[in-house]
Amino acid sequence: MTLAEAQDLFAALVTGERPVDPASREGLLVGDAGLSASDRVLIYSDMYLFRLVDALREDYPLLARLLGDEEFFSVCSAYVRAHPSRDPSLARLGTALPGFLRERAGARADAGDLGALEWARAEAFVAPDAGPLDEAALRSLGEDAASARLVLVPSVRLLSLGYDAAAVWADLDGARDPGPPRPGPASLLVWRKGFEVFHAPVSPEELAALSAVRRGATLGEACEVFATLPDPAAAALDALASWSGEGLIARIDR
Amino acid sequence: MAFQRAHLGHGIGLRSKHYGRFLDERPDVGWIEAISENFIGVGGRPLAVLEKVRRDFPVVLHGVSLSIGSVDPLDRRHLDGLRALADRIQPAYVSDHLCWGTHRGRYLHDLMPLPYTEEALGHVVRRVQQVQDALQRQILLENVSSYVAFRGSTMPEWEFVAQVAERADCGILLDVNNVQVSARNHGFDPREYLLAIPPERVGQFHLAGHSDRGAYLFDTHDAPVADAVWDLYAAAVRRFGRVPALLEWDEHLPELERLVEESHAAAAVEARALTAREAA
Repeated sequence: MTLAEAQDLFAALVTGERPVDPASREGLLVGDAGLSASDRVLIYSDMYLFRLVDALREDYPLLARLLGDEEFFSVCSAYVRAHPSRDPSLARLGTALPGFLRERAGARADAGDLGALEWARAEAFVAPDAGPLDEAALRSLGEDAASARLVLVPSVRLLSLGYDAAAVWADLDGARDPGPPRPGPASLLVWRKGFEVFHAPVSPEELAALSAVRRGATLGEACEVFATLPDPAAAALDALASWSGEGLIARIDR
Repeated sequence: MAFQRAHLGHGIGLRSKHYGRFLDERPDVGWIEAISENFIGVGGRPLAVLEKVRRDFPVVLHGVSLSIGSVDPLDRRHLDGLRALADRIQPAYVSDHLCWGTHRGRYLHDLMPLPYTEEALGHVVRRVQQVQDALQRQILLENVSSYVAFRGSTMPEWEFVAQVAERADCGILLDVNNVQVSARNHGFDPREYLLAIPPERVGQFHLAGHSDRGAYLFDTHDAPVADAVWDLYAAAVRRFGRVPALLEWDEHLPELERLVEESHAAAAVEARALTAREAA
């Protein structure tokens, strides 16, 4: 048996995703009176699933609390079968879990949105360092402001959700019963200031402006989304002051 | 061809539960081991902690996802990230495991044992050389705990480990606990294992706790070092001399003081074994 064949067979035994007949297993592995080949494989296959679910529980502690141990394990087992890990870091395993939850029949309706918030916070916590830009640099833009392109710090995450995940997050974080799902559009901004991660609701217009900035729009283009508001200039200036004050801007590309 | 052993003393692992302590204090240990994958491409508090620790101590970068024995291609993006981290941290060593953990592009996040065959040996040796070229430095490979043995193996584990190190010109991270665990699980003499390992290749030891599950020992890193492992560590020091040793503890992680205490216990075992070695 070649090395490739041995690894194919052993991976199938460990993940349980492809049936392996007992004769092939016995041909691959040696057992003894104390521990048969199949008992030995079980040590690995049990560890495989538990390790992955434990890693997900570390990144999604509040989702785990919301769903309960049994449901969380069941969801995560299905998830790791559908989304095998493609990253050397176990901390990246959960990247597609929020989307998976949104599509999973029978899951609590706001589970995906709570997951999206937890994942965004986890990503923001370890995002690469940058900036933030000195407020004076922003003020010095003057007449060039409309054509300037802002670069956001890498920790910024923008969430457009269908449920009030921030309220569920706050309840679970405070060890309170979150009650039933609360539907309704919610725009959330997640970012890191120093070592601390924050999230806060923003208006849909501000979220759209930040999205445009992230896509590389000029400040003038990004602020066009405020045009429908009663005082567009004031809204744009408020938003800019808030971005600057919260350290969301890494640099200005002119 | 040789491996350059560093002189670091006794160290402990950097775990997130202790990040705050490491930012504020300098625990009484010789060096710190950080898990490479936790720090590749990240910023924020984890990186700030690692950089503070690096200012205070020699650091070893220890990986879990190199998958040196897999038939999958080496993950070049991971290697680039590891190289960038090593350039930034300037570790005393870069190490990983003599095992495989990827299959058809999937990370299994486990340390799977290899069949000990000529084919696997040649495969691993070629890949170690590729990794050392990419990182521009020698690496150390750690023997893993194992629970299965492949029917196709044509040599014992200790011969495979020694051959990889000699032919690929890399170092050996000898995990004394893993030798003990695998010896029990496969019915070999752990001292025979030590005798087959070339002393000049051993750059580091690992020490850890395990669980006795009756039919087998399980490598859990969740308890103090077992008496049998202390005895084997003393035998290893008598054979290999003064080697940097790391106390590993992952599950049920105690307070920092307990880890420091356990690393001091390791230093005491080493001192006694060195005295015995000199007397012999």
